[in-house]
Amino acid sequence: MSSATSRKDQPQVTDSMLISRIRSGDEDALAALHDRYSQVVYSVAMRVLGETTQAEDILQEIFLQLWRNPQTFDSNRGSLGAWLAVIARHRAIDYVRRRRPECGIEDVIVAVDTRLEQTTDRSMIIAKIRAAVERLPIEQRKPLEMAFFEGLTHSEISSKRGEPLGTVKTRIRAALLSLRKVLAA
Amino acid sequence: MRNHQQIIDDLVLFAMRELPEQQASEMRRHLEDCDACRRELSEINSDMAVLALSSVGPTPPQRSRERLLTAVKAEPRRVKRFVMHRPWWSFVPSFAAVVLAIFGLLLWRENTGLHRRLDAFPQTSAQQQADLERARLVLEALTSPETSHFALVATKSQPVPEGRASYLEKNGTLVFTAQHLPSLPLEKTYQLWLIPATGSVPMPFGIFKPDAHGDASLVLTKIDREKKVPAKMFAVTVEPEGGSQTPTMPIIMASRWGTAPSS
Repeated sequence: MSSATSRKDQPQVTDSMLISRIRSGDEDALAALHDRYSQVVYSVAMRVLGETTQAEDILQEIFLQLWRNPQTFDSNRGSLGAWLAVIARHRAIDYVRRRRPECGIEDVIVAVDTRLEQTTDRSMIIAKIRAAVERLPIEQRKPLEMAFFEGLTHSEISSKRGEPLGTVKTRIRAALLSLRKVLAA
Repeated sequence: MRNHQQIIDDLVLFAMRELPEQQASEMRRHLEDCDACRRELSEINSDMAVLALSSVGPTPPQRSRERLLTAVKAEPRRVKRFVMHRPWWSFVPSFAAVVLAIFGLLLWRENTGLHRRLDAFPQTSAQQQADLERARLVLEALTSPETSHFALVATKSQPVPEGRASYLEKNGTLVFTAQHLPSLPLEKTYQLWLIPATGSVPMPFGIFKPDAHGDASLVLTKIDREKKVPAKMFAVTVEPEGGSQTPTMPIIMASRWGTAPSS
């Protein structure tokens, strides 16, 4: 994180407060949110695309969209960090599939209410999640990562792995349920 | 038609945006009405968020922040809105101010109307004074003994026929004169009638013709006994030459007893 991050990422300033300030046209609030979540968005985009320039473009697009339409994020519908992570994945997949971005940011509702606002909490949670993903059985983790990060369809995964389509679907579903338990625990 | 379980099975595909557009549209329609599927989709999105967060690692270059802020400055300026969550009673002063403003506006309108009427008052008063003076002059002209009265008639109008009958019943004498009578065809004549005071039928009292000036006269003495009756009125009609026993309408002249025009 930049030095600006440590200066602005104060624990008492919640995401909702920053969104409210963005609605009032406060550029510093957008900068604060960028400091807080740019690593999340950029990392997800990098994981999907494997290329820095496009990942930076996606980072720019998402935060500009947030600046233009801050009302599309409703803090009652989940964590801003989790929401941005999903949005970043969808945008990056659009790049991979070379299709027009069709993910309206208002389309995605994320139920998770994980505290990602403070740097310390965020680091701990991410470490916990990463460990949980690594613990997934390889026959579940691999098709899940192929679908989520590589943007392959279930049929493509079935074909590539030589597994029945139904099996691919079941394993992806089981992998997601396992991750769900990580934060519920 | 797909059953509900099939739809639920496709929620992961929908969340990962793998469904073909037609099926995705069906799913969106289904989600509008199905709370359970909306909740499950939200959970799947959360699962995906967890998976996405597992990839957090590299930090974006510092230039990305500068690039974003430069782009924001190039955006159209946004009017700042101050969103405040205030208790309900905090709106009381604002409400009172609005009420006072409305009340003040009403007072101002009434005041303006009064001023307008006050400005017009001298003009109205002067008009009323002029009308009053004119009425006074008219009344004086009509009632003053110094006023000269003139009667005017149309200079080319036809004179109205008029007659005078003097009847003395006890002697059986009648003197009748008439002026301004129109001339008649040769086969016509004027005839005088006495209408008895008893209400019985008109009695013929003689025929006459006017001269070239429209004047005529009729004098009867020694009237028959049966015709010496009290008269209610006299009348003149136009009848065939030689006269009639009953009058032919219309009546040219008529006069009640004692109401004959004075000469």
